[in-house]
Amino acid sequence: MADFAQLSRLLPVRPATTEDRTTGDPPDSAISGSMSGWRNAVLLLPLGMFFAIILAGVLLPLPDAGTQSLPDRLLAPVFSGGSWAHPLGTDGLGRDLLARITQGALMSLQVSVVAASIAAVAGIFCGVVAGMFGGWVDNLLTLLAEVTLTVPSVVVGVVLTATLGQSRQNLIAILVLGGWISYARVLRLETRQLRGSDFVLAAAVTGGSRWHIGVRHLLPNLAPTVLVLFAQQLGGMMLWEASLTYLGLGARPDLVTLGGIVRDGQAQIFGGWWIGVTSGFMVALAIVGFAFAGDWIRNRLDRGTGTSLA
Amino acid sequence: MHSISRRTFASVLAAAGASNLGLPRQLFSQGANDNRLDTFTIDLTGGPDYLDPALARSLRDWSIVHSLYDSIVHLSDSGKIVPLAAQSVTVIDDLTLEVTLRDGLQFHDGTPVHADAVKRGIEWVQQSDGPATGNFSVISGVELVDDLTCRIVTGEPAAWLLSQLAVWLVLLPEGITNESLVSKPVGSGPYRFVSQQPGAELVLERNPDYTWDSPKGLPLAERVTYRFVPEAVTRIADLATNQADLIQTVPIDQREAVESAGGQVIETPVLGVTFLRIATDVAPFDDPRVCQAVNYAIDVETIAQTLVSPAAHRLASLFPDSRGIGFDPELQPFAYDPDKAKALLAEAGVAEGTEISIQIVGGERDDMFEAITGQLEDAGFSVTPVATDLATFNSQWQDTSAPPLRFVSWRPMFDPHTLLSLMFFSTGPLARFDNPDVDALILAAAADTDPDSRAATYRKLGKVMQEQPGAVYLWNLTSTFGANSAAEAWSPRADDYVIATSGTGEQE
Amino acid sequence: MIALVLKRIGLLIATVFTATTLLFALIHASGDPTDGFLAPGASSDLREATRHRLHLDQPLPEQYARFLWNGMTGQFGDSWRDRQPATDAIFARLPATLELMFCAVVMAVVLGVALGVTTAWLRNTWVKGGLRVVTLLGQAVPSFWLGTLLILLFAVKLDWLPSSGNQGWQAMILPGITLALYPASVIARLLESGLRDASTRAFVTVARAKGLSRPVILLRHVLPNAMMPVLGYVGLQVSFLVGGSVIVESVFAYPGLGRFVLQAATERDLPVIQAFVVTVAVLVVLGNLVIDLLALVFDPRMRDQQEGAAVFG
Repeated sequence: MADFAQLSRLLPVRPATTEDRTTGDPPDSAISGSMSGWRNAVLLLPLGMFFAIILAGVLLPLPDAGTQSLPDRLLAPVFSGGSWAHPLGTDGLGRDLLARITQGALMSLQVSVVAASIAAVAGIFCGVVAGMFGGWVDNLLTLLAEVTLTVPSVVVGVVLTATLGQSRQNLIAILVLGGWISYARVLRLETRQLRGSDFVLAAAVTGGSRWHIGVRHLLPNLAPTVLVLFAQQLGGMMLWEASLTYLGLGARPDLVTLGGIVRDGQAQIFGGWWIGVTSGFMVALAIVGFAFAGDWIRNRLDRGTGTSLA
Repeated sequence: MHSISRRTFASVLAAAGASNLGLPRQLFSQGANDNRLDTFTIDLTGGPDYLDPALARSLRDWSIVHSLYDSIVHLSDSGKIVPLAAQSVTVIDDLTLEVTLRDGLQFHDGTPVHADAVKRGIEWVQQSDGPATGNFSVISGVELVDDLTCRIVTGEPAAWLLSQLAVWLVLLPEGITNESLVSKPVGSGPYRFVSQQPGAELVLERNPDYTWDSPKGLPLAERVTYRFVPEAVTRIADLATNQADLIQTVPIDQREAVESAGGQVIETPVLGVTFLRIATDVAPFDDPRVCQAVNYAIDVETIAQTLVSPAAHRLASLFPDSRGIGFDPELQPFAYDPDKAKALLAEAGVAEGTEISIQIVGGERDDMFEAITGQLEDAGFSVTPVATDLATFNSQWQDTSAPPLRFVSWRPMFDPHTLLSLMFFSTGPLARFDNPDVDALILAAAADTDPDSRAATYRKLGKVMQEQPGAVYLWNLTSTFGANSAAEAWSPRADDYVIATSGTGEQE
Repeated sequence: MIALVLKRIGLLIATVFTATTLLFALIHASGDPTDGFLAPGASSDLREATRHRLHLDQPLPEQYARFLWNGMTGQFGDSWRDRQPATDAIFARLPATLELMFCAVVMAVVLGVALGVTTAWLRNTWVKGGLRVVTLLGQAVPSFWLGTLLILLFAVKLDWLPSSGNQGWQAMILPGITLALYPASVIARLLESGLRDASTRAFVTVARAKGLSRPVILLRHVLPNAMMPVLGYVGLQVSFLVGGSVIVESVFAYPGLGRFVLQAATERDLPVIQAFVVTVAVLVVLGNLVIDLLALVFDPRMRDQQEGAAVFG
């Protein structure tokens, strides 16, 4: 479940020097840096679709997402014999599904963005500090990471929810717990590599303090990695939120999230298959969309900076 | 009155409609009821938490416990407590019950069942820290009269005791330990323990000595396997693939799927109730008009019928149906009248948009809960739902900072005394309700050993608790099972235990 | 080598210590643990007696000391809820979980490597892109949804596999796939990315110059390089799979540790939780050790040196 916690070790370590890289053959891959901008833009299609659907949900004259109507429960979507009054059908309480999915998607996005941001800040801080200073700080970080990795997040999540109650904040907290490690580990690695690079030595020679070096010189170089990771995590957290909601560790019952709708859909698979299929499709679209967006970012930056660290 | 509706249908050519996923229909095998089945598999919603009869507290626990053990009495289909392992149970006086066991009963290990087993059973409950320990403390002693007879003596009159005995007093052999109860349970019930895979399944085999004319019925298979399957969809898949013969709890929207897979849906109302407990010690619920208003504001009947079960109906009180004492057929449930609700709220000075919160257990995103919340909002409240885990929920019964409304299911309701004394008696450990009239009626009924006057007292209580409600009365609990042809001989019990016996005899 | 093992053990002890301390704190901060298993309405006498039996009425530091001692000596005591030894409960369910995890890891690696290598191998842009999308879909479906769909397709509709339980090896397939799909997707993407990078490195040009064919280069030279991050990822799967198995076990009614521990956590059953954390920590360390050994097999530096030596004398 807490998979991006392990994403850290998965990102391949870029070659530390340029000697190892040939400037001859372009990398044997399809959608990568040497492509034209047009081909690259294709990567943004899924995310575009995701946001287009949300936009449709906002703009179309649909009933309010919270309006219940028991006589109208479990109506089929328009492509399966339903009417345009409810383009994606209704759920078990007669609420319009498209309206609910829109609301849920926005809520899930909000939660993911907040969680990913906090995870990024926390993880970057820990990683840079550990990479810069080494020693016991580094060991402490390793210990924290191992603890987070060893205890399955479910256990922590359940106990946390028992202590603090079910709320959006707790959901975000659990997501952050799983997400910070990726940044920490990657940043630590890259910080250590950069520590020996020329411009850092130059800065040290000219008398910059270690903090100064960290903030002014290292961070901008690490930005591309962070951005890619952030994009990937946004999608991953939406998935994880669905699982947490299934286990009862999600946000308050009245806050509809995309994962919550998938959960409802799974329970209603016989009477209302469209609930799970459409919301599941949206989740998949978001995840693929964000992952490809991350690829797009990396490609753009690869192109821009040539063969250096990016 | 005894209403068990059983859906039967032809298994031929169940062409799947567009609304289900075309589950294959299964051909019925020859349903031979005269012969016992070799195997019978039951899917429960989860494993038993406790196999110790003194600690058992859920339907899953009791289904297995009461397959292994017999009590002296049990709940008959008509809702009466009737003798089971006992030949007779006589009320000697206000404080004494005389129990005479049937002759010739045996435990699974071959030892005979004598009256000391009753004493052992009672003492075992009293020394445990289970849910019934408090109740059993009213028993001051058990006197052995002869091999098959004993007298249960109580410290004060306890008319409700018999129903508690039906659930928690089981006949235990000698040499019981905490460990033996879990690893090798020995009782005198219709099935013997074979094996257990924790978290997966539990296997029982027929007790060959269980041949007497038991009101519990006779074993219908040589071997019974209980499987623990938490997901409803998976249970239905099990039924469709014949991996299970009987499945517990089929949600209302999945009943069609069971049928098109060739199974039957067996639906029955259960002696249990659901309600929203109102804490009357905080505003705005300290005004009975507000308590009435929330009763009028919710269309309980429609919610029950569409989201729960066709066998679920709006309750007028805490007494579910005529099988239980205290049911008043004359008493009408609150009508769904949102205008009246608003009028009452205005009268009581409750402003539009008053914030209230409502608490449920766990993360179950039940439609019914959201429907209720929605209708409360329509009535003019601003509702915050709060979901907590069971432990936290149970710790907050009397917490005045906890939400004033909480969603409660209560079963079994063989006798209403336990629920009333715990939750609606002013000094009860779960109570946030204080009404001297109600207190007086509860006490009177508890000490009254005459069933008719006791029933009259409870009926009066029902009326009083409509004028000054301590709860929003929702619906009676129901049980919906899915069954294939192998389960033809099985029918649900009034106590809702899932025991693989057939021929539950009608008594009285 | 010895140093590595010692360091790992040291980390294990520190991790277990920290983790269990945190959980101890959280559990005691969340209120009276007896609420998790005493029936509502239990008399205060009963509550007091239970608290006394479980040493919950002692001052917190004393409880903590006892807690630590139990952890170190492996005597976790009885589950608070059902008074059966906590270790028995864990070990009864451990084999099933290990089987499922092993099955899932094997499936994930096989599927992931196959997908990753295929995607890297292909030249056609659109097919490649399509395969990338398919791979990514493995990370895009919530496991409870996927599990349900698999049951309905393979068990009900096709009747190829059992719908639930753990009777027989067939019962592991569907839950295994459900658990394996996410890691398989990550492995495939990791591998493809790694293969892409590795193919731009110096020794590949050298190998090509030597006239080695493409498949040989890919499999014997490039793949071992790219497998390193994959191995690292696989090593991390222990805790991930235990956590992810909670859902899979619920959907497939598979009797493993995941669901059991979720219940224990909900009931604030500290001895069981403690036993569980120690068990998982030990498994994690063992898993990482295995990975380290495998990494030695795949270590590209040894390969590189051989190649370099062959070319440059």
